[in-house]
This record gives sequence, C-alpha cells and structure tokens, in this order.
Amino acid sequence: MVFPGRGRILSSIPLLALVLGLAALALTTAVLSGINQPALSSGDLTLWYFVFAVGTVFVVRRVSSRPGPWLSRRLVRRTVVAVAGLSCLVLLITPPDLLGGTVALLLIVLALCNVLLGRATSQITVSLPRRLDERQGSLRDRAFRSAYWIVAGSAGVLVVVSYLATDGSRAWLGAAVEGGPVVAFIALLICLPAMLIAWLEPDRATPAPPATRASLFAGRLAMTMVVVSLLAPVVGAATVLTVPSQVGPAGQYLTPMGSECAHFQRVTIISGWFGTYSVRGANVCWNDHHVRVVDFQGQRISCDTTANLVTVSTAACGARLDSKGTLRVTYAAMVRPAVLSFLSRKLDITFAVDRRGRLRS
Amino acid sequence: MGEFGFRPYAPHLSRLTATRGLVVATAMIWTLLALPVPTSLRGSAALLVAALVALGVALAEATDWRVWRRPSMLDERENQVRDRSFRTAFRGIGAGVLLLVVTVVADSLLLPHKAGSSAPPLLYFTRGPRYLVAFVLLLTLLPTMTYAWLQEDPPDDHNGRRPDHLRSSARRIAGPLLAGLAVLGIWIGAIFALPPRTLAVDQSPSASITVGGARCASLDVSRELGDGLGAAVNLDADVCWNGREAWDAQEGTSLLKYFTAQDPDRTTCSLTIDASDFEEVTGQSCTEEGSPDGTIRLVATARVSSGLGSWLDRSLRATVTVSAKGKVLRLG
Repeated sequence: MVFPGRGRILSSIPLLALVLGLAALALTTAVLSGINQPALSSGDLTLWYFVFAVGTVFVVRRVSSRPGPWLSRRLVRRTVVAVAGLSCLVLLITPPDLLGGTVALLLIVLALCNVLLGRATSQITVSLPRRLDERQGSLRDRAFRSAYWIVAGSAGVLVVVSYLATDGSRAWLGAAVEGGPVVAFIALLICLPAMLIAWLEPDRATPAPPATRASLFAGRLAMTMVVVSLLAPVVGAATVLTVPSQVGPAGQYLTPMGSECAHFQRVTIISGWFGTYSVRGANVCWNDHHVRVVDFQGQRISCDTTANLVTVSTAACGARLDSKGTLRVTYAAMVRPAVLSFLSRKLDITFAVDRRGRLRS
Repeated sequence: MGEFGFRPYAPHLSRLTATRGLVVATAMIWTLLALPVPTSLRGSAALLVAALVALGVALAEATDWRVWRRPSMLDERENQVRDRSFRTAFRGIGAGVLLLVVTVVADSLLLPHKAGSSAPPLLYFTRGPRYLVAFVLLLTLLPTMTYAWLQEDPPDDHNGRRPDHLRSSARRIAGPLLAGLAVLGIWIGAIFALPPRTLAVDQSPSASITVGGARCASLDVSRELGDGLGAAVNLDADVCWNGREAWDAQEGTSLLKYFTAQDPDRTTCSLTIDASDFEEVTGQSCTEEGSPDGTIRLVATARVSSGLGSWLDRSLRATVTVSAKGKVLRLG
C-alpha cells in the first residue's frame, strides 16, 4: 500500500490553537455559568465532552499515521472490522432496556476501532484529495460508493418497513430513533468507508514513518487527548458512587383533592455529570380514622426520575401502616452508572402520613 | 463553430446551468418538505413529493441514469465522477445527521422547559410520514443530485447537438411529468381508496380506578388513512361507570378528574389530528351521547380532503362505546 506523503513537518501551531481554543471556550463557559448557577449541568458537561471528543478526532486525524507491521496484516485489519461491525449489530438489535450501560462500553470499543481503522487505512478516507495519489483516490471513492449503497439501502428499507408494517414495528422505530440503532447508524457513517478499505486491501509491508519533533509532539498530544476522552466517562461514573445524595424534605406538593386526599412526594438528587433527580410520591386519602394509599391507573406510588447517564432500578416500593395507624411510604432503588454498570449504590426515600393527613418524619 | 472560429453561444454551458438549476430547485423543495416549520403543510406535501420525484427523474435523464448503472456500462471518466458524487452524497448524509444531533442538543440546552417532553423535538420522522418520506427521498436523490452538479457536459458534435441527440426532448419532458403524476395518483388512491386502519387501542381494565363506588378508565383509539401514510384522528376518552350508567370523567368531581386535569393530553373526549401534511383536515368535532340503558358513546369525526380542491374528500371517524357495566362495546 502506498501511503499519503506526510513526511513534511506538521505544523504544531494549528493543533495548539485548537486545544487552547477549546480550553478557553470551556473556561469562559464555566465562568459565565458560575455567575448564574452553582455548577455546570449534566447537559453542559455532556456537550463539552462531545466538543472535546470532536477536537480529539481532529487532532488524531492530523497526526501522521501509517499502519505499522501489525495493521498492515489483512487478518488483523479484518478482525478490527469484524469487532466494529459486531458492535454496530449489538447496538442495532438489542432492546434498550437490555443494553443499559453496555452502550457506553460499545461506544468506547467503536472509538478505538475507528482510531485503529484510521491508522490501518492511513486516513485516506479523511485526507484531502491533493494528499492522495490516483490509486488511493480511486480506492477511496469506490469505498464511499459501496458504503453509500449499504447505509442508504439498509437504513431506507429498515425505516420504511418498520413504519408501515405493524404497530409494534412502528413503536420499535420510535424507540430506535432515540436508542442504539441511531448510534449504530452514526457509527457506520463515520467508520464504514474505512471498514470497507481495511477489509479489501491485501497484506502490504510498510516502512516506519520518519520521526520529527513536530510529529512527536502531535502524536503525544493526540495520545493524551484520546486517553482523556476514554477516561473521562469512567471518572464521571465513579463520582456517582462517591458523591453524597441530597434528600429534600417530604411535602404535600399539589393542591389537595377535596378535603381528604392529597399527593405527597419527596425529592432526592445525585448531582454531577452522571446523576439522577428522582421524585417519589404517593396519592393518599384519610378520614381521621384511617389513612391509605389510593390507586391511580394501577399505580399506588408514583415515580418520576430524570436520569443522566445512569439507570435507576426499583429495589423496593411500598407503604405500610404502623401500630399508631400512620402510613409509612418507603422506596429503595439501585443506581448504576452507564459506564461501570456492574457497580451500584442504593438510594432510600421514606416519609409518613398520619390519619389526619399530616406529614411525619 | 461560428465563421470567425469561435462559437458565439455555448449550448453545453446552458445545459449545465439548467441541470444545476434543477439541482437547486430539488434541494429547495426538499428543504420545504423536511423543515419542521410550518408544523402542517395542509395537503400540499403530496404536491411537493410529486415535484421531487419529477425533478429526480429529470435529473436522472440529464445524467443519463449513470448513477444507477453498473460500473461496466460507464467509461473510466464517468465512473470517476460517479464515485466522487457518491462520496459527496455520503458526507451529505453525515452532515445532515450531525446537524440534526447539534440541533437537538442545542434545543435541549436552550429550552430546558421542554425536558419533560417524551421525545426530542426534532426527531420528527417517527411523528408522521412527511419526515419519513423526506428521509427516503434524500437517500434516493442525493447521489443523482451530486452527479448532476459535478458532471462535465459532454462535448457537442458539429451540429451543436449532444451525441445522445436521439434521446428526444419529448421523452425528457414526458418522463418526469408522468413520474410525478403517477406518484400523485398512487398517493391519492392509497389515501382515499384504502379503508382506515384502527390502532393504538388501550382498553385494559386493569388501568381503571375506583372513585366513590364507580370505576373509571382511559380508552384511546386512533384511526388512520393510507396505512399510516395519511391523516389520523385520535380519540382519548376517560369514562366512568357504576353498573347503572356510564359517564365521562369530566362530569364527576372525582379523583380521576383531578388527575386528568394534571395531564392536558388526557382530557375527556379529546380529539387530536396527526400528520395532516398530505391531506387537509377540517370539520373536527368530538361529541358524546347517552342512551336510556346507561350506555355512553363518544365520537370524534373529521373531514379529510386531498388538498387539491374539494372534489376529493372523505370522512374519518373514531368511536368509543361503553355500557353501564363498563363493557367496551365499540372501539374503532
């Protein structure tokens, strides 16, 4: 394989400008947001992680890359392609409730595969046309043509059939747009041409690229950014397990329903990039002699959870009368971060209502 | 050639300009179809789709259908342009998806009050056929559009005509016209000839609640035209019964009424219209009537017309009937 000529010294100024620009933007946002609110919200942090990841991709792509002895081998390249394809398949066919924290793991695998595929193909799918010779340009364009037919054909047929076939398939499409299938679609848009080239190209020996100060700096910077990109979600997940939860006071938050029924609720928060805002409530009626939880559409105790990159699963949920006739509502849940989902922490929420509709601690 | 050795008028340049004009027109009409504003196209979406199909055929004719041909049927230069157009088209899809993601993220950050909504506001194509059709047309038209933009016009022969002059102008005009009319005809046939489909029925008795000796439940039914490609009428009803009579939840000062008041999407006998882009929906009404045996009947109706005039329209109706003992007699 003949690789694009990048022997000339890469200018490190654009890379530095990019990194410093991102840092300055992040700092400005942090300062400005600190004026109005105490900390960056989960959405802000996710956005900045996204921006940093995009910056990492740009930096990695500027680094001179050649396959090296391992990625020059067809078997190794095809293994990487198979792993990427398998990850996309799992994202496509696994129901969202079964995927859970696996999504983050698959995204990390796909990101690694993308980096390896970029090296294996000498970044010819993203190089400027003037940096490619005629054979590489032709190979690249043919790969894009095949990739277009694969992506457009599969996505088009899948969307049309699932919309028109049955109610169930339309519901699947609704969930797919917000779940794993759309992630697989975006991953294929990024990786598929490189996957096709890596799969089709034969074994070729490649010489090691000449090392210069600028290329070494660019390589180290890219490696650092890749490591930060991969470690940041792990650190974010770890904070879910360590940050103390804030539990708000129980209260009668909504207008009483007549003189003898009301909705009571209590809020708990785990703040941070990965976190949750949970409201647990119960619809309670009383008459001086008795107090009880009433049904609403088969639900005795209402749950409203806003989860940011965590899954909240109910471990216990119920209400019981104690010896004094006071109703005690208890709730317990397990919180698992999207990354490191094999770890978890427990959340407990309790409040009590007496026979006169008064809250008790 | 002119008598002074140059050609005063270059027909190939005008053809190139005309072809690129078609590309621009296609892009503009597609944008009209795909933009979320206005929220309803009131029947004109069918015309936009027909126009896009006609323009797609016109572009395919202008490019001699080279995008859809086998590589062996093209020469080396044509293959190169074709592959390059696919590369541009592939990145066009990526740019579209990236724009969508950025818009959704920006929307969720800038409008936090929408955070409780069930779906990101710009992931539209699960909400109606307009965006589904726009997505499929984008995938179908994009390579031809990019090829038509990138191609170099073939050289003229000595008579100022293209080498493929046997392809008559009549065919170049008739093909797109027929394709557009065919799409319009099939669409109107599917919407106005096929029977309405009933779906999204919720009649689970387990969802009922007990209020003052009566039981209440929510019953939802949706009727849609064209197997999901046309308008849909949704009837959401909250009904209570006590063995002697059935009534709608709004009349009772009940716990259900309290809860239904918290959810504006679940009021008694509410009528919502989905996907009125390909038809115009008028005369919407939601009525209820009781019978002497205590049965209650809720009916949502609307008139659906083609948007091409009042000569083609039909009625669309969704009905819920519940007996005094809570038996659902009709849902559809």
